Amino acid sequence: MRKYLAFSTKAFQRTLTYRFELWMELAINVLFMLIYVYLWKALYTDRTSVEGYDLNGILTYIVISQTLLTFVFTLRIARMIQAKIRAGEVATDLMKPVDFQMMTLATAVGTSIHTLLFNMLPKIVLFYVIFKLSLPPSFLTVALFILSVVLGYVILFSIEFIIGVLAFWLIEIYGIYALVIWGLHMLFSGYFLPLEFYPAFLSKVAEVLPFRAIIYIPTALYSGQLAGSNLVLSLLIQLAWAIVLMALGRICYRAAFRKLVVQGG
Amino acid sequence: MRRYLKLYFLLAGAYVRSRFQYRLSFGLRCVTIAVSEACLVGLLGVLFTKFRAVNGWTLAEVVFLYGLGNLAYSLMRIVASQLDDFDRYILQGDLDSVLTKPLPPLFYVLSSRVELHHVARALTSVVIFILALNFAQIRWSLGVAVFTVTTVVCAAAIMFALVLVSATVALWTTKSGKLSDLLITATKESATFPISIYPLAVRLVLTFILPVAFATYYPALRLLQKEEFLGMPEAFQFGAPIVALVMLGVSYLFWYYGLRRYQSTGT
Repeated sequence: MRKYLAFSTKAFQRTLTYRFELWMELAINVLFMLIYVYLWKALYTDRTSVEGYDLNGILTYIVISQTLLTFVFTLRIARMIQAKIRAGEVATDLMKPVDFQMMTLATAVGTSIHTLLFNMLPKIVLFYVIFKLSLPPSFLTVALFILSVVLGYVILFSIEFIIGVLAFWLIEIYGIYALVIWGLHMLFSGYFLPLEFYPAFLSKVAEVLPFRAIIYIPTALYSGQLAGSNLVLSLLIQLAWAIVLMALGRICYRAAFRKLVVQGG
Repeated sequence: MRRYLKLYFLLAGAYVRSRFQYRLSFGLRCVTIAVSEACLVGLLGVLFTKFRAVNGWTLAEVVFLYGLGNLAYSLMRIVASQLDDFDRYILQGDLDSVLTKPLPPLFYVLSSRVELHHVARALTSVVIFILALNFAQIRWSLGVAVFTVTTVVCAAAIMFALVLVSATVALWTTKSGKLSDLLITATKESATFPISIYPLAVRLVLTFILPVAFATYYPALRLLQKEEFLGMPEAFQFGAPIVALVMLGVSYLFWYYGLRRYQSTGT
């Protein structure tokens, strides 16, 4: 455990180097969130409630989902693995007495904790102060929300990990990355609007894909949209996806390392 | 003028040829741009199946507005791809060698890299734009066509000026990160929706400080025959060319002034 912690700390410190860019990123994120908040305010001008979301509920949903989306923008795990493969750096990673997938996860977590502290939390606090959003129904909801965010994060990580490892075969993974993250994820994660608002056939598609477990489930849980057996089921779905995708990532990199030949070094 | 055009194609052509060494990667980039644009319009479509309109704007009208802004943006990006990481020139000292060339520095910087995958974005926007034009039931005439083309060109010029100003900042700060890229995406994104959804302060910023409203919203009012000038003069629908000229002038002066007082980092 301690050796993985070292990777996280290192990653955390590395992100501290680019402070100006982080501030810029925060400012722009806030701008985007403002755009969406005003869009939804305008959409709700002559409505009180749509699909169980009142104005306050939908604004809370948008702020939380946009905040969680920050993980997607800042993770960059696929690109990191690709760079390591290109530079042959994986060879030294293989020599380390650690598990490659766990090591990568530890690095990702280090970066993301920085994002969480200096980007996501300030954003949430800011929007809560300006727009007086609703708080989650109970303390239990907050606890379950955190659990759900963690599971969603593991799912996002494992998807990026698998794409990154594909670089062993494909060399250039940008296309696949963009199709999965900018295409499928954007359409089916529920970052732009709650999945309840989707037409029936699209929400059916969303239900069988793992992407809704990244943003939609935690956000809907937070907004009090998931309750009772529905809530338990959603968390179980997340857990199942997390396990399946982590295992799949493991199978992929094992297969990759078997065929890996590093020239020189 | 002809000499510059010839030089532009020569320099830019060399870069484009070098990029075409990686045809698959180029093709993939184009496909992904098209896919992500289509996804965004798809999401807007999903949104509008639930909500018929936002502030009286239908899906076709919003997509029209989005297409207008995006088309201008992609044209601008084809020409100005070099400016989004302009601080690289200063950090690595490349600007010094640019200054020794017997050409206007801005001309040389712009022509040394032209990213053709932005053409894919432009083509996607054209398709989206034309579809939206049809659905928004805009009647075609020569006047409308001329107005549309002028608007797109002026809109691209306004966006170019914004990018040039934010890139020039690096002449003072050395490092500007993704300032210009971020600034332009945020302004472009905010102009995707009718500005009537924003509070007055934001509308004023989008009209007078980062004047993208002149590039998209006000001309779109004319094309869609809407009267929502929100207290601004109706003449603003024709404002794009003037704003574009002023913005180009101001941004070039700012660039010129920045270069005059530029000191190399010595690397």
